Amino acid sequence: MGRVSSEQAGTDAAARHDGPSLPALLAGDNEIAGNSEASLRDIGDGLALFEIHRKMNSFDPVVQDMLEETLARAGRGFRALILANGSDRAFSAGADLNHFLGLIERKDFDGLTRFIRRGQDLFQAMKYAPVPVVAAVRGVALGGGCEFALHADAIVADADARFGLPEAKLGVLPAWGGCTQMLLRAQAQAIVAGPLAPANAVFELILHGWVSGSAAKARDKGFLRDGDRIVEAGGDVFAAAKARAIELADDYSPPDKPLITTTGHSGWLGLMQPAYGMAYAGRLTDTDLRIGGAVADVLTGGPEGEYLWRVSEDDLMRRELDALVELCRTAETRDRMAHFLKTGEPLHN
Amino acid sequence: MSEAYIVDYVRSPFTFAKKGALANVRPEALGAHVVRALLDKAGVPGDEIEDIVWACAFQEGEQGLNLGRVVGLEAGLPVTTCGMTINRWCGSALQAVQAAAGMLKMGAGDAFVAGGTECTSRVPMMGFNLLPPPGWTQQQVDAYVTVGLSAETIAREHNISREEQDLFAHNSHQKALSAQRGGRFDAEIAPYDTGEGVVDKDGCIKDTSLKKMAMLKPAFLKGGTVTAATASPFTDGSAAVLVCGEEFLKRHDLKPLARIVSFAVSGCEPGKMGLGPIESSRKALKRAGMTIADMGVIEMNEAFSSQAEASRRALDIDPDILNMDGGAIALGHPLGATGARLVGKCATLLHRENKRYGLATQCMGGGMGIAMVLEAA
Repeated sequence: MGRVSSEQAGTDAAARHDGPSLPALLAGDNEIAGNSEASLRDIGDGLALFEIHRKMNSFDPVVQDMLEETLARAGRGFRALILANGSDRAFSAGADLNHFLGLIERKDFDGLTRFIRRGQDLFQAMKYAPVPVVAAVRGVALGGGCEFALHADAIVADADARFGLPEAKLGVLPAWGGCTQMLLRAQAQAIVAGPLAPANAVFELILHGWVSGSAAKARDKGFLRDGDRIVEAGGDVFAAAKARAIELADDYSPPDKPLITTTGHSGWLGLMQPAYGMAYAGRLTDTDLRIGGAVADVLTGGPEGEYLWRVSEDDLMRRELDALVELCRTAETRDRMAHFLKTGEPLHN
Repeated sequence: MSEAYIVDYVRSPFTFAKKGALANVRPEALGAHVVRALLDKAGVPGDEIEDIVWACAFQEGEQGLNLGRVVGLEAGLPVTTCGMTINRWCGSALQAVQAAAGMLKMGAGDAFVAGGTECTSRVPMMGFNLLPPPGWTQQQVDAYVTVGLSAETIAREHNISREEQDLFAHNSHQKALSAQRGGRFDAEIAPYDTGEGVVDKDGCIKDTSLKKMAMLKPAFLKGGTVTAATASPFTDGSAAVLVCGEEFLKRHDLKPLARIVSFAVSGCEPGKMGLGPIESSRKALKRAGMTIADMGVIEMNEAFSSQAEASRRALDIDPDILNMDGGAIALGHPLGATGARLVGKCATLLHRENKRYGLATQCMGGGMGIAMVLEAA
């Protein structure tokens, strides 16, 4: 996985930037739009702030409503968007698991499909929005929260921020573009090149639900890219994010839509071989293999895919969605998620 | 038609992949080092070498640019000396010796360096991009790739118990320790200066106990019997032998170690690749007009205790003449280098032990065996 040389934006850079602090802005009378769970704020300099304000800043449909409204205004009311909130514990812990598990337990798979599809659509809309988006990450950015940050143009992270895609521990896979965006990052930044090596690095991260102990470790694993910044402990992440947003706003144009190289079933066999080896040795369960197989499907373009085909983000994200809904139909996935919600610990079933 | 002779043998220290002292050394640097050391030791000028016949099992990345050619250039051999790279997985370097001998016997040159390198730290076993045929089932992939499972299958079908496997591995370490302490590797090892110090000893040999080994969990199969201690470790290393014809020996006044008498390869079920030595050894012995009883020294690779012991039993090999200075479980198994170590070791042991005939044999992933009979020269 690519080790990128992120710039270290220390307290000096942050301190140089004038303007009100984040707590002052969050308490200020600057809301452009808002609902019970999230707000869009005008923070001056042509910048806007999207803020989630709920437990662990997780995503439910009400947060999605506000993100949709925010993106609809992009380019009209503001020239750059910052994703930040007042918590030092959580940038976002991902999808609201109570909402998620409720859909599963009611067997409302159409509702689940809509919830996931909408998340994908919103994050894609954010990635290709006419304005740059900067994620100011403090605390955890996990699961859907990590995917939220991965779709930003840039990440500015506190040194102690923790990134990860631990969905497999909850019986599912990253389906808000997490597999797809991590594969794109790995292919762009791979130390070890080749048709499968970048996918292999991503596969291992997702299969084992890896979570970084620090922003630097997340950078080593490809969550952060060149141009992303790590702010020293005690530094002002928000001020650094604001500076980054202003930098990006000049002459901004959205990224081109990439094509992603896949390896088809040959690559699937290659990715899964070590996983099967671990299962034979008793270190992975059949449920782990099922989830791994679904992740490998996404990362290789699926069983009907061909070696060195080039596919779109949409192709892979459709696979993420289908695979997630399939997994959610199984008792083992439901048990994993319910157990985690109840105990805060993963279930090894 | 000239006979083919093994004139000399040199190898690098063998050290653990990733955590060993050679983990930061590039494959062509390690290969060039043993080639230079071999030619210096033998006193043969580089411009007399027809070809570098080199072996490497995972020819990807740093090992992917026709390593044999790069090794020759890096060793400072003249550009007129050619270079090639052979792949028969674990038996690649034994095949390299045969390829050199075969060319020699048909008059396509009279002096070759044959050997190989595997820097497992830098290109892992199975490479970075494992892409099996998409039509294969998981079982086929397992059989071809997951060699630990084949060791389990053989242990089960040939009744090699956990205790017997542990004992086999323990013996390998004890023999290697004794050889190391007695300085019996000194003549074959070319110390390597990494810039952070000189590495002059093998790094995988352990003075471990059966009690400690018995505590290890199975590495490949839940409820199985094969552990990390009864499998050869991932290893970095390189080895080379000088293969020459009679005219060349006379011209340079060289005294060879051994004559190559016969050679064979064989195939078996991929999922039982560890049994490869049995049929290949039988074929090579038959071609030599001999039986196992004629052999005074046998070097058989120890990919796993179970397969080595099963092959030993099937071939009725006297344990006293098998891997006298230890085998791959203790020394390590740099896939592309091991075959040259086995041939070189067998040839030198014939002299040390004052024996006439010797056998070098290996199993190979994918379900193959390879064997060569040598005669002391």
